[in-house]
Amino acid sequence: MADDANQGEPLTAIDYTWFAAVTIMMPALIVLLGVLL
Amino acid sequence: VNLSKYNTADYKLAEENGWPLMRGERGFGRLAIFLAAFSAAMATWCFSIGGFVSYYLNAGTGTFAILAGSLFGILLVTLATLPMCSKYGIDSVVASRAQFGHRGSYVSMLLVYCSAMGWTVILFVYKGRAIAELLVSFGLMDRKYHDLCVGIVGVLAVLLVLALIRKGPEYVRSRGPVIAVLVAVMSLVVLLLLVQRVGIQGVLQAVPLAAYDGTAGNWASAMEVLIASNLSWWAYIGAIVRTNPSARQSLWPVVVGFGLGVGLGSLTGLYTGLVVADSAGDPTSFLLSQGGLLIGGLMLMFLLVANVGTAMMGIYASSVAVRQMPRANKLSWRMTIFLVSIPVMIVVALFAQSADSFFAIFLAFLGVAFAPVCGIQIADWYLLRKQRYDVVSLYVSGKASQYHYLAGFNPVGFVAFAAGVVTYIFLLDPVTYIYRTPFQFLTASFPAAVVAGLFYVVGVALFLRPRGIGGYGESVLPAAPPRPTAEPTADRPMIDN
Repeated sequence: MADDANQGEPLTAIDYTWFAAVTIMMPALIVLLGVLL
Repeated sequence: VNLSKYNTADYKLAEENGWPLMRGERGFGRLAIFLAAFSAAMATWCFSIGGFVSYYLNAGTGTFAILAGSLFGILLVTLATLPMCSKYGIDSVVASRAQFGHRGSYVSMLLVYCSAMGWTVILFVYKGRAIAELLVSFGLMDRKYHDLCVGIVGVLAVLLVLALIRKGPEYVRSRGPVIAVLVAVMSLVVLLLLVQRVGIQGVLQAVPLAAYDGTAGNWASAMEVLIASNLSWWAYIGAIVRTNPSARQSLWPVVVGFGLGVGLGSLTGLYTGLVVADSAGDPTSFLLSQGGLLIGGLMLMFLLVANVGTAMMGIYASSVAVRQMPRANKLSWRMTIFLVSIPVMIVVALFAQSADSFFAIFLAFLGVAFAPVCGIQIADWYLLRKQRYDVVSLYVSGKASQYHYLAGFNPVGFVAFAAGVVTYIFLLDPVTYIYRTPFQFLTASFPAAVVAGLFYVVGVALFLRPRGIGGYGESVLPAAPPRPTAEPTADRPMIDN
């Protein structure tokens, strides 16, 4: 029986965008900064 | 589905035995998720993680590497667990049945057991060291018996933890935040004592202990430690996020909670490892020598209390995982926790004198084991299944399940897993820690995850989808799938994909 109301709310495109920014771009920048310093 | 006829006992049953939690049954909010994540990560094992980084980088670059590695690790493990566990209210092991098959998911369970037990061994060694340092400091024992004392106290501590949790799972709940606060306070005191001893300049100028010649190799090694450590939250994240009704609500508490918890604790370990010779991040000896009997003794008492609490949760989690094995759920709770703890006692006794060697091997195991699993799950969820599982098939055993594959095992899943393991070991020897190019640019966990994911996608396209196996392509499910048969004691509602 289909019952979407019992499923958790999924992540949206905006969530994925911010998630990628924080877990890919930010650590990449941290590494870059650390190497440059 | 009318949920009103299901009472609280049914929900707890669902939590304990791994049934899907309905949206209305999920009571954790953002703060609760954050506290659960933070307290799971913020334990004294973080000192060992940071101590490992001190082999490769100094305080400045090590701080950057710890922060970056922590976030990279969270990326992989969150994508592999949060979307599906949150959507269906299932734990990570159940979710892995879609890729490894019903019986194949016992391998996931074994990995969870080994990772929880590995961390627990480290806690018991720390307990042994704390007691040994106290006995030496009070003149009650000669230092030459230090290592022997660590082993004996470690094993006795296992028995103490067993005595505490023998009453059942309820005793273990709700102690996480207190432990996290104790460890946070201890970390702060250690940092202050370090600054008191050598000053901020002294910390910044301390050199790494066993750095490679190349800068890139040191960075990659340090970040690999954090990535592998964070991959071990694979089971924890599933267990935590299934108790919240929204993936959107869980996402940032998980990222910040695990990232911050591991990051803060590891930084203390890094600085301690750099400043205190031969400590490998372990502050127990330093606490007494620098803080004196009053502050040092108090902090070691903090460590003991915190470690007992964390170890209780580790043995509890492992016991719950083991009880999902066939026939294991017929054992009494006391027998389960005893049997689960026997390997811990043996390893603690064997590795009490060389805990740092154990930690190096254990870290490599985490990366070797969990990176391929994460890669396979991410590829399957986003590329092959369009972010949908057949929930009934996750729980129905036998040929009625889409995830039955070959006698309960998915050969494609295991070949992909093996490909990931070989990739990891090729890039980073888990025993000698000698690496091969391109480890210094990519680490070992990310390539292992990517290779495993690629093998899985290709394997499904070549072997499973054309045959309609595994829910790929044509469904093999009968029109009316039977209800799950694995001992439900309540007529639980079902959710569909």
